Formats: sequence, structure tokens, C-alpha cells
Amino acid sequence: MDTGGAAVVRGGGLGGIAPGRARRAPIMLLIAASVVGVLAALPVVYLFVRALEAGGGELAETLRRPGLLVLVLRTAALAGVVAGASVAIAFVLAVLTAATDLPLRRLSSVVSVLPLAVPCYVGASAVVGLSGPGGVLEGMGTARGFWAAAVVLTLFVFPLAYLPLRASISRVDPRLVDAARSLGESGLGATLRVILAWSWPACVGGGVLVGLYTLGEFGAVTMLRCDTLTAVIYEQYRSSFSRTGAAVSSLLLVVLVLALLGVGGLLRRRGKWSSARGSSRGGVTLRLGAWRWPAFALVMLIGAGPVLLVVLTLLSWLGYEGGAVGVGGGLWAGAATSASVAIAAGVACVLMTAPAAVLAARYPGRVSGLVERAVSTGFALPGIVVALGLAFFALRATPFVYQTWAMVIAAFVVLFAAQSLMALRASLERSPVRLEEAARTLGRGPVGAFVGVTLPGLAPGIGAAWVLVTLSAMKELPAMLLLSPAGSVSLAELVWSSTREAMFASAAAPGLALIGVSAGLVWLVAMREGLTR
Amino acid sequence: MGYKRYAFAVIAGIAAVFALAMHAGFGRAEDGAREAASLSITVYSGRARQLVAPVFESFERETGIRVRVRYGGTAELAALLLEEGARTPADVFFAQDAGALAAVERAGRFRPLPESLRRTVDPRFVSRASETGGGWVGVTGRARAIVYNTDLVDPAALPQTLEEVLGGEWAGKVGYPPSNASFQAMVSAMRARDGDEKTIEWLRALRASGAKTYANNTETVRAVASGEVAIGLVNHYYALRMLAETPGLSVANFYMTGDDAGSLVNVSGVGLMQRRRGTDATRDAAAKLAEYLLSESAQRYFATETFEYPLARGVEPPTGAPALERVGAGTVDLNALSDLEGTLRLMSRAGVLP
Repeated sequence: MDTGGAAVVRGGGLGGIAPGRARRAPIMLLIAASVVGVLAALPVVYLFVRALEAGGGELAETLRRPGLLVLVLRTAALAGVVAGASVAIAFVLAVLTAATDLPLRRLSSVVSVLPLAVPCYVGASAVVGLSGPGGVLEGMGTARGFWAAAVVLTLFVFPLAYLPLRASISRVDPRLVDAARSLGESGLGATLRVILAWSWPACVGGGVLVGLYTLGEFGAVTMLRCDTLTAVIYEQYRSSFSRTGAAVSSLLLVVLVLALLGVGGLLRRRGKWSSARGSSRGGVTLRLGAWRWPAFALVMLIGAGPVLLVVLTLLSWLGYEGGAVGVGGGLWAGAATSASVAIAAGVACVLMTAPAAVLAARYPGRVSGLVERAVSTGFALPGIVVALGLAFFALRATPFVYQTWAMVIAAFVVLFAAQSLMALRASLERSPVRLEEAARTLGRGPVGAFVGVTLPGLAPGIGAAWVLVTLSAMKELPAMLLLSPAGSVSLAELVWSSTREAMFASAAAPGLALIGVSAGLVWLVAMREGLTR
Repeated sequence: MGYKRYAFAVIAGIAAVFALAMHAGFGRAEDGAREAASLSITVYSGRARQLVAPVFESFERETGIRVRVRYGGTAELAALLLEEGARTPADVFFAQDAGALAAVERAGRFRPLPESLRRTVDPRFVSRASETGGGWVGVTGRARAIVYNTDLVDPAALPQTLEEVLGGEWAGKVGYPPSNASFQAMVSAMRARDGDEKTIEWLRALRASGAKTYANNTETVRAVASGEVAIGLVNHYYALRMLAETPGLSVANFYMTGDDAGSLVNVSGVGLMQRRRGTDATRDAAAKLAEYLLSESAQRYFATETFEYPLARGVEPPTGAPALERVGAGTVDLNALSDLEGTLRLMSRAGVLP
């Protein structure tokens, strides 16, 4: 089976790029692709500035902190566990929704992305509320610590892995399955093995994305008392107003990011095929038989269960009497601001990462590697680091944009470009490069070939990229708080400021609005995008 | 098919950019109109919108000065103010912890306060530097308290001092939030009063007694309410507030009377920022806002709505709380609370923080 499949793909018979192709990238593309990389690297430069302010003694002391090694290991372990569990769940859901005769596949696909609509800190506070006095889970022990954080994060972040996996699995080349079967493998096992091998790059990519997210997650881990490097970075900003210790810890986090990317690279290479590329008539359909409805129930349980639990919790908070200070008109203003800023951030991210995606997919090399690392680092850095880093540069270089929405959008590009890059790149890698070459030989210039062939290749990924960034931006808190124009209000801030004062009644309405608007976006894009096919 | 989806994305994008532009444009036009008529100042508020927005709104109504507020965590805003330096757009910093105020003060970021303002408040709750240079003044008081489960504990048996909390009868029954700013302020106060050695001993003994840790004050109060622990070391207003949301919870506050850090009263306070681009008019307006926060109506609002102690002389404390003179031990210097870094290092040496 291995040899058969590999021969087909490696031979380039499906229109893939032959490995080791040495084409030089157009200079304009290199420049355009570097913009997002440079922007994403600014916070790291800032961290070096702040860390180097410290004397050697202070640096050594920070690095010798008792428990630092345990902390780093715990952070790495959490990222690993959440990534692994997310990929496992995402793989099952992606197979069910993209490669079986599951009933209501459209609904199932949307529901599988739904958890992204719930901010992790809201999910965590609902879990905390449920396991507290009077909660449904009371008596099951308090939900706290490493495993509580791992479970909550997995439940609400796994769609980051589901989206690329589903896209990949929906294009599995049926000929490979036939080949495997003809070589004597039996039905289901063979098909699953082909699917796994086919979607392996998406598994790794999704896992890395989830891992990066976990490294930088703050709200849920602190609420569930699982101390990670990011939690400690916030702690240090709060305490050591010198900002040096926090900068050193943040640089440790950057090291973890690079390690995670390295592991991702190794895993990707262990895949059976160099990458899953373009079959235009893809897709296999497994017959579930009697398992159709139980499988459907499973998808609903995993996708909608936690979301429903959170929504019900918020609804029950709405009912609390007294003590609730209403947010009144702030709710509408907050919803309008959150939605428009997030939408604009999504567009900015897609526009800025598109050249980087083309570069990574068509001319992989040193520059595209650096851009990917910079953008991944931005994704994993805590929001406060990115916000302070951008403030540092803006105050010195471009004071006129400081505390305008442009700052917030720049911060969101730094924080979320990784998601957009992944989606766009995956989409390009599935569109055959041969078409571009054909266009060139048929007399189109490079620009013509790009507009006529490459851009449409990007199209399937644009919706996914945009929705990923928009959803993340809607939920983002620290950069929004520090960089938005004074006097503005966002949904995330309303939720946060209520829960931190234990005013659960007034947190409920903005929380529900946030989930509602996000769910609406998921639905909108799912209706338009490949999800429903 | 591909083109159709592409077109959709482009249209959605263009619509979004327009939406944002209009949003921003309208905002600016509105700002412009109002600013022409009146003055506007920027406040960095480390205090939650739900708690303080009504006060800013009534200030706007009474003075016609527009207040633009950036809400955020006190510490994050302090970090931002330090990053911004004199380039800051902020005129006023309203913080909910004396430590952060002291850090901003140490960096020389505050302007001097009007004399009259400093006299409104007991000197215990005003920064020392405010006499000579830039400093801050307290607005509300936040007292340390023991929250206890009324079904499990006889109030007469409650510990009177932090030392008594370590007693054998409380082993395994105490909850506390080590990562919480107010608990850490208490530890800082303990260090300032009794020295590092005694403080680290107390922390180690607390940990050894099987005391349970929680993420924050609210969590601690919840744990007490559910009976997971019998007593919790928290600030006074959390139980009052939670009782207002969920009447019938079996929790109540107890205020220790011992002369130690257990009876610390921390503050929320306000300082006026040094700002390169400030004008005489914005400086006056900023001072007016600080005065307003200490006015009788604002102070009464804090007592009745946020259950904190009003710090301006002559305003009644929140119902159900004893007089400020009776809770504050009065021997803790709030200016000593700024060495949070040292406190955290000590706490991590004692094993109560990672």
C-alpha cells in the first residue's frame, strides 16, 4: 500500500510540486511576504530590548528562579496534551463529517466549528461556576489544575485542528483507497489508514496551531489554576514593574514556540507522503450503516455539548437577582465595535498573509521559513506582550497611530496571522501548480498567471482564514484593552470586567452576545465555504 | 464556484472596511463636535466599568467635561503608563491597589496633587510623596477580612490574629488566594511590619497546615460558601457583594482586631499624570475629576454600590461593615506595599506561589 500510494503522489501525477524545485521567488513577492513577518517580529525585538536592559545578575536570577524548569515542562506538557487530544477529536469529527454518509452533514460540520465561538475564559468560568456551590457538577470535586485546563482548552480549541483536517479529508483521492483495497487490505481499516496518511500534514499543522494557542492562553489557565509560562508572564508584569523578568520569561516562551515548530517539522517529515496535494475529484464515503445516528449524536455531543453548557450557565446567570449593575447601551456599542474591528482585522490579516502564503506554498525557502516562525511566535505570545511591544514602537516611530483602531488591528495581525497563513497555504497547496505553469507557457505574464490562476487557488482558504482571525479577534482581550482608543467598549471587555468583579449577572448578557455574534459568523462562513459540500 | 466564493469574501471584506471606517468616522465627528463645545480628558481606570462608570457619567453631567476611559487591569495599565512615559495620552490614573500607584509614583509619573485634595483624606491613605512632589490619594478603602461559613463556624471562635489562623483547629480548613493582589498586599504589609523572616515562616506554616489555595477572592468566598473550607482570607466587599447577588449564601465577614497585617486596609486611589501634551485646561479638568471622586455623592455611591469604605472624612461606611477606625490597625504604611516583586519572591520561596 505504501509503495503504491507513494508512487502515485511522489511521481507528481496529481499535479504536486516535485520536491527540491529551485525556482527563485519574484522580488515583489518576497517583499510583500516579509511585511507580515517583520510586523510579527516587532514584539520579539521589544522583548530583547527590555531583557537586555537588565544586568547579567538580574538575568541570571530570573533564569535561576526556583521551579522555572517545572513551569516550562508543565507549559510544554499542556501544549502537547491539548494539541494531541484536539487532533484526535478533530480527526474523528473530520472523518465523520467529510468521509461518511453521516446524516445532516451540513449541520454536523457547522456544529464541529461552533466551540470556537466560545472564548476559553468564558468556558472556564462556566466550568468553575458549574463545579461550585449550587452548580450541576457540584460534588464531583472542583475542576482545577492541569487536567481541568487540558480538558477545557481541548473542548473549545479543537476546531482549530478540525478546519484544516476537514478540508484535507474531503479531498482524499479515492483511487488511493481503491489501490489499498486491491492490495488486499480490508475495507474500513484500509480506508482509515489512507485517510490518516493523506491528512497527516493537516494533522500536524492543526496540532501545531492548537499547541501555539495553548502556549499563549491566559484566561482559562489562570481561572483553572494551572500555572503556565504565560500565566507567570502576566504575574510578572503585574509585580515587577521593571518589565525585565516578564521579558525574559517571554523569550523563554519564544524558545518553546521554536521547539514546537521543530517538533512539527519532524512529525511532518515522518508522514508517508511529502504532502497531500491536489486531487480535484477527491472524497471518499464510508458507509456507517447502523452507526449513522449514534455517530451523529457523538458529533453533536462533542461540538454542541460544551457550547450548550456554557450558554445555559450564562442564561442562569441572567436570572441572578440584585447586585447586578446593568451594562445598558454599552452592550450594543460593544457588539458593534467588537464585530467591526474583528471583521476588519480578519480582512487585514488575509490581505497581509496572502503573499506569505503564496511564498510558502510556491517558493518555500529561508524567507518563508522565517516569516512562518515570526508569525507563529506572534500567535503564541501573550496579548499583553504584543500590545506593549507595539506601543513601544508606535510611540517612538508613529505616534499618530497610537491608540487608534489601526493599532488594535496591527496587534490582531501579529496575534492571529498564523491562523490565516495556515488556511491560505493549505488551500494553495491543494491547487495544482502546473496550472500556473501552463498559463505561463500559454503566454500569460507572471502577473497575469498570478491573477488568473494563483488567486483563485487561494479562494477556498480565504473564508476559513478570515473566519478564524475574526473569531479570535472578537474574543481577544489584553491587546484590545491596552491599545483601543480610550472611551471605546468591546464585548470581551464587558464580559471580563463583570466576571472579575464576580458580577455574573452582568457578565451574562455580553457573554451571550459574544457567543451569538461569533456563532453567526461561523454559520455565515460555513454556508459559503467548503464546509457544507 | 471558486470565483463566487472569492467574490463573496471580497464583498464581505469591503463591507467590513466601510463599516469600520464609518464607525470610526462617526466617532470622530461626534468627538469633534463635543470637543468644540467642551473639554475632554482621558482616564486609565484599573477599576471595572460596572463599578465606576456611573461616577464618571455623573461627573460629565455636572461639569460638562467629557471623560474618555480606558478600562483594564490595574497592573497592566500601570505597565502601559510606564511604557508610555511622558508620551502618555492619560490625564488621570484610577487604580485599585496602592502598590501599582506606588510603582507609577516611583517612576516619577504623577503630578503634585492640590493641597485641598490631600486634606480631604486621612493621611494614612495618602502617599507620602504627595506632600513634596507627584503622588496619589486614596479614594476608597478595601479592608482585609475573614469570610466564614455561617453553618460550620461559630463566630466567637474565629481567629483574632493572623498567628491564630495557623492554630491546629483550623488545619485544612483555611482558603486563600495566593496569586491575588489583595492577599499579596497583605503579605507585603506583613513584611513591612514584621520583617521577611517572620513573614516567610508564617507563609510556610500556613501551607503546612493544609490551607487550600484559590484563584481569587471570589473563588475563595465560593469555596467557603460551599463548605469546601470553613474560613477564607479575603477582602471585605466580596462576601457583601455576593450576598447581594445571591441572598441566603451561608457566608459572613469577620474583621480581625489584632494589631497585624490581617487588619490591613488597602485603597483604590487616584493620581494625576505628567503628560507632555497636557494643557492647563486638561490639568484643571483632571484635578476636578479627582476632587469629584472624593466628593460626598461619589463617596456615598462607593459605600452603597461597591460596598467599599469611603475615604473622604465624614461619609458613612457601607452597611454591615464596622467603622473604618475599628478595622484598620493603622500601623501599616501603604507606601511600603510597592515592593510586590520582593513579596512574590518571598512567596515563591515559601512555596505558596510557583
